[in-house]
Order: sequence, then C-alpha cells, then structure tokens
Amino acid sequence: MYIAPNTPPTGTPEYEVYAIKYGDHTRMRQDNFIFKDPHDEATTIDFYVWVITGGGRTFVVDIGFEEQEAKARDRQLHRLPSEAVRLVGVDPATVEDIIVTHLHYDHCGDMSPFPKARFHLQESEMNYATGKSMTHQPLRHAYNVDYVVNFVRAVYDDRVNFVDGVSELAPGIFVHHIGGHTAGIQSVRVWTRKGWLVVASDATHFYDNMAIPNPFPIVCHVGHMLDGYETLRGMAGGNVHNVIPGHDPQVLSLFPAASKELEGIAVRLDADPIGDLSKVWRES
Amino acid sequence: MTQAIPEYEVYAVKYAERLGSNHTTFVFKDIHDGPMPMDYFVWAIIGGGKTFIVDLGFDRRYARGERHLLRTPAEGLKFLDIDAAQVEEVIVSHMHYDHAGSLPDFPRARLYLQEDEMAMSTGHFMKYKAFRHGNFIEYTVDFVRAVYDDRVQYLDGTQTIAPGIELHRVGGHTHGIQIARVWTRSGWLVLASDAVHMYDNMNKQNPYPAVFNMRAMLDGFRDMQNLVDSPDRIIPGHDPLIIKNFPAASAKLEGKVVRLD
Repeated sequence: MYIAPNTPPTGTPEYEVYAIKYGDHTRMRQDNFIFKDPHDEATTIDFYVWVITGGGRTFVVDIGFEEQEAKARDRQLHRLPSEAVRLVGVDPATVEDIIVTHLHYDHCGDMSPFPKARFHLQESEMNYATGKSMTHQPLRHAYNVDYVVNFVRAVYDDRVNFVDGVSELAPGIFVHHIGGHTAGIQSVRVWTRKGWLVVASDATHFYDNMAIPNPFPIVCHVGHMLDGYETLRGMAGGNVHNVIPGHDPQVLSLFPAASKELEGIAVRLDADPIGDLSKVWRES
Repeated sequence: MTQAIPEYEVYAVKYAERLGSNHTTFVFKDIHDGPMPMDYFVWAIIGGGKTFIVDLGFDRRYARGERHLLRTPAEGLKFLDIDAAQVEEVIVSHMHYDHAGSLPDFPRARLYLQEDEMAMSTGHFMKYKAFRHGNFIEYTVDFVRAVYDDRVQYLDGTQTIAPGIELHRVGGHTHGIQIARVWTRSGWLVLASDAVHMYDNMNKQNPYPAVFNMRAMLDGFRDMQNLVDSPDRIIPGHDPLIIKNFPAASAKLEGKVVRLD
C-alpha cells in the first residue's frame, strides 16, 4: 500500500478541483456489483469529467463520450464534456494537459475540441486496449474502437505522454497506476486546502464498491481491483473521505455546488463536504 | 495416429524495389559506400489444401519517395492464381509499413501477430522517430480495427499454427518480429522476413541499421541456424539475390516470382 507524504514541499499550489456531470443513465443496482445484493432497485449512474486548476495551470481529467456514442449505448448526454469544462471557466481550445484515467468509451471520447492537449496515459492501458484482451467480447465491450484509434493517432502525433506506474505531472499532481477495472487504469492524487484529494475515476465507481467492498462487475482483474481500494486509501494519506468515486450521483449532494447556477451539475471537491461522508463510507 | 505433415510449396513474390546503399544496409560502414538495391517481397505457403500468405507489403496509400511499387501485393499474388480477397490466413512478421500495409485487399484474412509487436506499434516507443519511421499510422490503425473485428490471432513466443508451419518470435529488428519455419520437400525452410534483411547482414555479422534490440537481433541470427539443416535454407526479407538464385515459378514469371522450396 502506498502512503502519501503528509505534506508536499513548500510552494506546492493548493489546487481547486471540480467534478462536472455531463450525462447519466438509469439501471439496476445489481448491475453495479459483482456479488449480488438482495436489495435491487433502479439507480442512476452519473458520468463526470473533472477539472484541476492552480499554480497557473489547468488539468482536465477524462473527456467522456460524445453524441454518437451516447446514442449507440442509449446514454443521456446532457452536455458534451468539452462544454462541461466551460461551466467552470475552462476553454477546451486552450487546454494543454488531459489526464486520461483509462480508454473506456465514457472517459476518452470527446477529443477533437481539445486540439492543444497532451494526454497523460498509462502505457499498460494502451497495451490492453490494442492487445489480446480485446479479443474477448466482455473485456472489449466498454471500448469504442474509433476512440482507441484516435489515441493511436495521437501517439504518432507526439501528443501522448506515456506513464508507467507513478508520475508527478506538476507540483502536487500525481497519477498512480491502479489496474483492476482495466489493466492500465490510473487515479489522480492532487494537493488541496484539505490535504491530498484522490480523483479515483473508475478505480471505484461508487462509494459502495470500495466501502463494502463489492467490486464493479466490469473488471479485468478482481484481485487488482481490491488491491486498488487499498492503494486509493494510501493515496489519500489514510483519509478515505478524500477519495472521490467515478460515477456516484451522491458526489453532487455531498460537496458544495461550484456556484448557485451549477447546483446538481458541478461541485467543488476541494471544499468541505456538506453531506455526511462517514455514512457513505459506512463508518456509522 | 499422426497426421501427415504436408510438404509445402513456398514462393517469394516481388512487389517493389528501391536503390539503397551499403551505408543504409549495414551498421558497420565500409569507407567505400556503394549501391545496394533492395527488393520487397510477400511470400506464399501452399499445401495441405491451405494457403498462408506471409506479410502484406505496402499499397498505394503509402507514398514515400524512392520505394518503387511495381504492383500491389494482391496483384503480385495473382501471378500464383491466389485471389487476395479469398485468402484466409496471413502471417504478419511485424508491423512495419512494408510488411503490414495492404490489409483492405485481404478482407477475409485472419492475422497471426505477436502481441509484443502491437504493443510496440501503439506504445511509448513510437515517440522516437527512429522507430516510428518504420510504421505507417494508417496501417497501424487498420490492425487495431482488425483486433476489434476478431481478425487477429495473437501469439506469444513460439506456436505451431498448422502441421509443418511454426512461428517463432525473435525480436531484434522490432520488439515482436516473428519468423516462419515451414516444412518442404527439401526440408525445413525459414522465412526470416526482416529478422534478416540481406544475406550479408547475417553472414558477415553486420546487422541492418534499423534495429530495436541488437542483442535479440544477433541471438536471432544464431537461433535460426538451429531451425534449418543449412544456412542457405534461411530466406532473408529484402535481398535481391533471392530473385537471382532461386528458379522462377514459371518462365513468364522470371524476375517476379521464385520458388523457394
């Protein structure tokens, strides 16, 4: 288990971190857990992008899907990911750094509005998305070959920074390879006013996947996914309240809205929570 | 009961040529540079009721100066009455542009490829021009799409894909380059593709300069000797001596297609 240092070097920016919802989908709770739960009910899965700003730089984390894929998979697209980042004042045309947690369709699709971006990606994720694993339909299902091809082209255009394991992309912004959900998924650790915050993305889809724990059923390696929950805890310096799941609708009510108009759409993750995090983490 | 192993017929079909030089062909340079022409081939293995094609050459989408495309690989295979549109088995030695290029002409083919080769062609090594130069993005993309279309048979190391046809990953020139060892009426034959570009690269221990892992390339030269009865059963990938030294498949095909077995 990786334990993050208590404090980064002096001068490290305290970043602002936003989660912005761009789409959603309704399905049964059973679809979210590998071990079945007796209480089945309709639940919502939210689709997010995240924005990290500070120290004069902006990092976008993941770029969702676009209209064509939303239609093909019958997902609700409320706004393009590239439009979603505008809600917190980011112009996609000027974004220079995009962390791509993994290459599933709902995390890497809206590429063209970000012409200046460089993509930070684990090499093991590209190997997974183009290699032998993709000859298995259950592993391939969440990938869109057109999106994968866009990233292969980006490699040849010198727009991909391949990461192998852990890398500090800017002072106080780290990516960590997690694996499990996909072979090369990574999560983000960022320094904020309340300490290390972990944008887990799909290393844990919902609070309950990690809190119970009961893994998400779309999985490449269950052992690595469970190990990943431990890694996320360590990345947050042991404070699990600072771990942000990738698809949980509760995120929008647990943290304060970025502004009044963005109620239910965008929240400030580096702010103090307004909901009871000990409850979602099943601590009481 | 053992199945009879077919004695395969093996052909080299020339589809392109280029006028290179000694300095572009050997790592260790001679003071006196001189012309060194280079031929481009695809290979056909026929026997046991099946046809295997080795490599896909390049097609008209690839336009880089001095390589002169005489005919597309599909057009070349017509000389042997092989219809590319009907070919079901293609062995891809590696993903360089001149070996992985005309996939659209082979719509039914299953591709035998080392997983390491795809990893190199889509991974971080492509940031180096020295490696990326050998690949062509459109061909790489064709292969990624083929994975999602269930058309790629990934290999890891050595595998027998039909009685008397073995594929061996050797690496060296690229991370996942593989060679084909084929049983023929004259014994085992190795189609080395670019594990050996020219006879002299191997015989003079003076490798071709496009190399990823020199140790693996040299290991490959040595290990291939153990797969054949004599070194002349190893067929290099680009040597113009192939067309000169082997008999034409027929009088009409002089200079175009030779019979290697």
